[in-house]
Formats: sequence, C-alpha cells, structure tokens
Amino acid sequence: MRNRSWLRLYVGLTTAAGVGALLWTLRRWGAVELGGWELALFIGLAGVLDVMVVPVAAGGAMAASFAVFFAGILSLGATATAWVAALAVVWSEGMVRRRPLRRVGFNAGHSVLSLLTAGWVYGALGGRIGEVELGSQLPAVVGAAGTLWALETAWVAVAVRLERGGRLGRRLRSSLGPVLAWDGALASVGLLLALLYQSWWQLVGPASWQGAALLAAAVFIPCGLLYYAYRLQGSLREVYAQSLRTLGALLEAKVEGSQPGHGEQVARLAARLAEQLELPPEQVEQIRYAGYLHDIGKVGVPSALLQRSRERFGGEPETLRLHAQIGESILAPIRFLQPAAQMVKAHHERWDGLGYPQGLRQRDIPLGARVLALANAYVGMTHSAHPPLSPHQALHRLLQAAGSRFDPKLTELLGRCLVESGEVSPETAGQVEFAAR
Amino acid sequence: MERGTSPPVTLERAYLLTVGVVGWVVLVWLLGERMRAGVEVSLAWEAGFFLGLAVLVGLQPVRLPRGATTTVGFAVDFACLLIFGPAVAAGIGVASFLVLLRRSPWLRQVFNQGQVVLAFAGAGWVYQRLGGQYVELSARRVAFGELGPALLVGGVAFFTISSLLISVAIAQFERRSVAGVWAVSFRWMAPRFLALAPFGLLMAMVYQTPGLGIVAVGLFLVPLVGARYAFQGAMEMLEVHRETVWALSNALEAYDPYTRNHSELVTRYALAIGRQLGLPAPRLELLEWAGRLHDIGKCRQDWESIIRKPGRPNAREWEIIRQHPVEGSRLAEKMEFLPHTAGEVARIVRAHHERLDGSGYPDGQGGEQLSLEARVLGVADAFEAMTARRAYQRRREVEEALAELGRCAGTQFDPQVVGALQALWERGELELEPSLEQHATAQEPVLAPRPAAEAAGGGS
Repeated sequence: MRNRSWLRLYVGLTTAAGVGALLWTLRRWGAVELGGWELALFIGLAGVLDVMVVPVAAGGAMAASFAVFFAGILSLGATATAWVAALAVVWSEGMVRRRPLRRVGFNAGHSVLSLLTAGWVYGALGGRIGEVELGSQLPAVVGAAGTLWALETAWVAVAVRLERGGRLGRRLRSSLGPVLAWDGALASVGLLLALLYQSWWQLVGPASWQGAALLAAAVFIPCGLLYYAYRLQGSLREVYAQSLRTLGALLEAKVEGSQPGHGEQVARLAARLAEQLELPPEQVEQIRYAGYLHDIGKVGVPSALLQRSRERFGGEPETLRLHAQIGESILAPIRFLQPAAQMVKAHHERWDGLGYPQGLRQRDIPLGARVLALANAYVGMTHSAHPPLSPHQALHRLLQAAGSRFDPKLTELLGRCLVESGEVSPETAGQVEFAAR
Repeated sequence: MERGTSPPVTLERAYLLTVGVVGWVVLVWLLGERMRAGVEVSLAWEAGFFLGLAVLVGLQPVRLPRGATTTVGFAVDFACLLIFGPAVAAGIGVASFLVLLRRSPWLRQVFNQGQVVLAFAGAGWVYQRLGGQYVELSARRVAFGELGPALLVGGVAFFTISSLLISVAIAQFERRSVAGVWAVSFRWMAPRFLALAPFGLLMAMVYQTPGLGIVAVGLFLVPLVGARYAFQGAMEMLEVHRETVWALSNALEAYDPYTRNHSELVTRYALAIGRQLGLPAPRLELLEWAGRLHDIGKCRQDWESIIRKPGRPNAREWEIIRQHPVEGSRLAEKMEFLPHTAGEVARIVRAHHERLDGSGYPDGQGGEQLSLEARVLGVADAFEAMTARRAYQRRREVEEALAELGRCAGTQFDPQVVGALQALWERGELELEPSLEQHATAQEPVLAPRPAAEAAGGGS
C-alpha cells in the first residue's frame, strides 16, 4: 500500500535529519563546557525514564524522559542535551528494550530535532542556560516546554496518521490533550531538576555520587509515582476488555446454537469500522464492548426457542426478539457501559424503521448500533450461515439491503474496508456495487 | 448513653477523652518549650502554607474499592515534622483536623487531635534521640546517609503510635483484641504508609533549599496531582470492573431457577466467615472475587443435562464435573483484576472442591496445601447448596445443614471454618435471603483519617 512507503520515507527522513543535526552540533561543541559527570548523570536519568512509557489512546506513546530532556535544555543547553537524548534513546530502546532499529532511529531523530528547536526558542525568549530563575525567564521556560511538547506530539501524530490513515488534524487534536497532562507534570519535574541541579549539585559537591543520588531521587520518586498510576490505569483497562471478552464467550457457551467466537469477530469488525469512521477512542471502545456482549440477552430466552428459531428459516419468534431488550436491561446497572447498552438494545433496528424493539429509523438509531448491525450480519453470513457465504457473496447481500436494512453509507464503508484488507478483490467489489444499484 | 447501666461505653468514652486531653496537654507543653527557644517571624506564614497543603491533600482522598479512602497526607505530615519540629507540626496536624473532621462528633474530633499530637511528639522525640535535626536539614547530611536511621525510626514511630491508639479505640468499641484489630486494619498498610516517608523527606529538603522554597514544593506537587487523578481513574476502572463482572455473572445464573443467586449467597457467607476469622481486607477482596466466580466453569451447554440426569454420571460426565473448578480457574485468570494478585483468585476457584483430607477434586490436595480462602469457600458453597431453594422450614434446614457440616469437620471441612459459620448463625448474623443490591455497600470509616481512613475497608 502507498501509505506504507510514505511512512518509511518519513521515518527515514526523520532519522537522517536527526543524525545530520547531531553532526552539525559538533561544530559548536567547543562552546560546551561540561564534565563527564554531568553528562553521565543526565544520560543515566534520561535512559531510565525513557523505559517508563505509557501508550496514548489515539496512537503512539509518551515517555517520562521528557522531564530530563526539558531539564537538559535549561541546565546543559540544547546542544549537549541533543546528544544526551540520542544516547539515552539508543541505550534504553535499542539495547535494553531491543526495539526495531527503525523505531529507535525515528525516536532518537525526532527527539534531537525537537530538542534543538526548543533550545533555540529558549534562547530567543531570553533564557540563560544553567542560570534558571523563574521571574524574568518564565516566558522562556514555558516557551521551551511548549515547543518540546507540541513538536514531539506532532512528529508522532504524523507517523500514526501515515500508518493508520484518517485525517491528520483529528489525530493531532485527540493526542495533544492527553499528552499535555502527562508532559505538563513532567515539565514540572524537569524544572525542579534544573533548579535543584543549580543548588544541590554545587552544595553537595559536583561530580559526586551522593549528589547524583539525591538528584535521581528527586526525579525518580515523582516520575515513578506518575508512571505507576498511569500504567495501573492502562492495565486495568486492558484487563477490563479481556474480562468482557471472556464473559461474552461464556455466554456463547451457555446459549444453545450460538457460534463460538461470534461475539469476538463482531467486536473486531465493528471496532475496525468505527476506527475507519474516526470516532473518538472511547466510542470505539464502547462499540467493541457492545460487540462482545450484543447477544447477552439470549441467556434470558428459553433455549428450546432459540433452537427452534434456528431451524425455522427467516422470521424470529416474538420471544427471541426480546433478547435485545433483555440485553439492555442486564447492562443497564453498569453506568460505564451505558453507551454499549444502548447499542445492544438497538442492534436489531433497521434503517427503514422495520426493526425491533422500537422501530427506530435512520439516524434515530445510535451510530454504534448501526455499525454493530452491519458487523453482526456480515459475520453471521460468513461464519454461522449454512453454508457460509464467501466475503464477496456476503458483501453482495449487504449492499442489496443497504438503504432498507442497513445504513447505506456504512455499508459502502464496509465494502471499502474489505477491499482494502484484501478480503474482497476490487474488481468484484465494483461488480457488486454495480449489481446492487 | 446512661452512666451506670452501660459502664463499658463510659470506659470507651473515657479512653477517647483521655487521649484527647493528654494530647492537648502535650501540645501546649511542646509549644511552650518552642516559644521559650524563640520563634522566627516568618514561621507563622510558612506553617500556614503547610497547613493549607495538609488540608488540601486531606480533602482530595483517593477512593479505594469498598469505600475506604487513602491520601498522601503522611508525606505532608512527615515533611512538617522535619521542617518545623514536633511542636509546630503537631499544631498543624490538629489545625488540619479541625477543618477535615469538622462534621464528626466532638469526642471523635478530640480523640483524633490527641492521637496525632502524641504521634508527632513520639516520632519527634525518637528522631531527635537518634541524632536527627530540624530546620537546617542540609542536603549534604542526608546524602551522606547520616540521618537514615533516625528518619526511618521516626517514620515507624509515627505510624506505630497512631495506629495503636486507634486500634485500642476500635477494639474497645467492637469488643475485640487490640492485636487482632491492628492485624486486620493496619498491618497490611504499614509498607504503603512508610513508602510515603521518602516523599516527605524530599519535600522538606526541596523546601529548605536556599532560593527555592514554596515554588519548588509546588513543582514537586504537580506530578503528584497528575498521579492522583490517574490513580483515581484506575480505582474507578476497578469499581466498574467489579460492577460488570457481578452484573454479568448474575445474569448468567439468573435465568436458571436452580442456580439463581447461588454465587451471591456463597459470596456473602464466605465473606461473613472470613470476617469472623479476622481475614484482612485484601484477602477478603480475593475471597469475594473467588466467591463470585467459583462456578463460572459450569457455563457450558451440556452442564444441566449432566447434572439433572437421573442415576450416576458416567465416566465422561464425571470427568466434566471434576473439571469445572479447573475450567473456572482458567476463566477467572482471564478476569483477574489486580496486578498484584496475579492468579490468586484463580487458585482459590480451582481448590473450592478440595477436601481437608485430600479426597476432593480436581487435584486431591488437602491439609496445609489448601489456602484458608479455599477452605472458607468450600464450606460456604456446601452450606448454600444444602440450604438453597427451601425457603419454608428455613430454620430447621439451616440447623440440619450446620449439623451435617459439623459431622464432616476435620475430614472434609476445616473445623475452624465450620466453627466460625456456626458462631455466626448462633449470633443471628447470617442473612439467608438474596439481596437486590448488586454488591456490598461501602462501609463507613470507623474512626477518623490518617491512617484510620485507609483501614476502614479492612473489615473493622
């Protein structure tokens, strides 16, 4: 695909520009007066904090090393800090975490470039290296932190855009906010480090391990706590999704005649469609949850009925129709799952208003429920039907029902999705669409 | 409460009052000493800043599951102690309680003021005896590790005094031993509490660095605020998780008249027994999850036909029955909720059909190999199975079931656990009807915060 090669080009250019900028700074290295102790301290701090990485919901990740990079600009100057950053990233990501070389190069590259720019901003706004003072230099300090934050985020957002598609503006907007909270807290630690570096480092005696230990404690304790809390939150979210998947699968085991893995497949396809629609991450998440649980109401329908309805082709008995509402009433007490509960309730509504339980029409049906209905039908046709339809046949059927059963725009989007992933070849898709009209 | 008719209550009130009065006397004496030594003008202003900080931190607790709360209040307390010495720090503590506990009964307020003063005084005394110093806490001395022992012992002293004074109060009100109360409510939180000491130390050092002061403390606090919100988010996620698993596992059972409410009642009995046995809060938490999930391995289409089939199950069916704890533990593992409990709930679920003498299934474990939680769950499960679905003649059924459990105690069941269940029944503390509520309601903190508030969930 074309996006892949753009991404490779972007990553390669960033790496090359980073290396070029580093080499360029060597011309000015003579002006830097730093001992090995100072450099080792900052590289060590940055290297350890660079391992503390937290994922961003909108794509990409953020590392705690931001604090040390920012402190470096204020204390050592951007030239030295660029080298600190490059070495720390190569050490922690390349040698400790053993990530692919392209990623290490990209991360080191955009860090170097953002740092040098932020350092230039700091100087231009009147900041003095190694003599931070919060009165007159406040604009410079804030300017440097803001530049570093905005550049780093944008650099990663472009890469995510090239990797996953969508509009750049939306990608950028949905990641700038969450990153700001994290980077803001870390900038505060960075400023503290810069201030303490000026006083404690001199007080305890420079070039001593005791001084280094004190500064390390002042940085690691708050950063570690912040990282721990973020990680806990993230891991609990993952565990939650895992739990819902398990419970959905259990339900399938309990309900007679249901296809194992159905809920999970519906969830995956529905989430894929939701991502294509560029819905916010929380909404995509709810759609995925609704996918796992969409048939949970069937536990409330006597199993003999389910069995019979499977045998009778076509219409479903009235009692089975209750499952959408029962599903909603099971999920109703869980406040967090309210959006998903509404989708579960409406996942048998039809675009033309002939569905159940409420007979909602068109846009009155929640978007998530429309996505869910489509995904449910496609997965049902390709996996549960006897005999199962091929993706091409299923798409054909769905497009025939677009505008009556399904949201026509969403159905087209599903078609594009299937073509893009190679499940349906473009030629047949063209024929299908033609045939459908 | 009338005097004479209920002397124990008077004794308890007398204890609370005594601690309060002694605390106030000590506070006045400490402040007097401090005044004689001479007070800097700027001190009031600085102490005001830290008082504000203590109140702010106290007003923003993180809500833990099951209604308990926790704050980083001890970090601020410890910083105050190191910066100002015990007299002013105790004053700050008392003043912050005046704001934080303003809605509590007056006696509880007085008691808490007293206990915090005594904790500060004791910690300060120990710290000074071991060579610790206040006001001029130079980075150099700390860096060289000279103050390490004094700081550590000071922190331990603060926690010990405070938690013991509160434990005595709880023990008197609940008629339990002080050691028991302390073990249930405080032992598990000691490490967490002491982990906050380095925080306080760092805050004090940053504050006293020339030219930095309050600005630096502010910078230090920003990441803490961020962490607090992320932590709160995590705790909310935990609650949502619990809510979801409860609702869905109930739904899986609810439409089968034979299993309806089974897990809920088993969980309730298991928790009641666990409290009776004095299990600490984290282990009760494990027990609750295991109780909710213990039969989840029965979720399969052919289960009912196997169980309801007249006659003995054949070899294949017997194998399926024996495997349900294994299947359940495999599923429970996937729903495991807390990083630090990895696999524990699953292990309890796996062992809930084991017997004390090793004749149970699936692994034939017995004796010491069985965790206490698994034994409790086994008894609760058997008790529920024997008393379920027979609402009429309830009393007789229960008595018969308890007698049956008593007969099997020592071979199949742990006698201690069966004894606890019998004691609960005799005291009329066993509720047999299913509740409409989804999960246990949060418990009110017994006595005021720091460190009591965190312990409130501890089954006290």
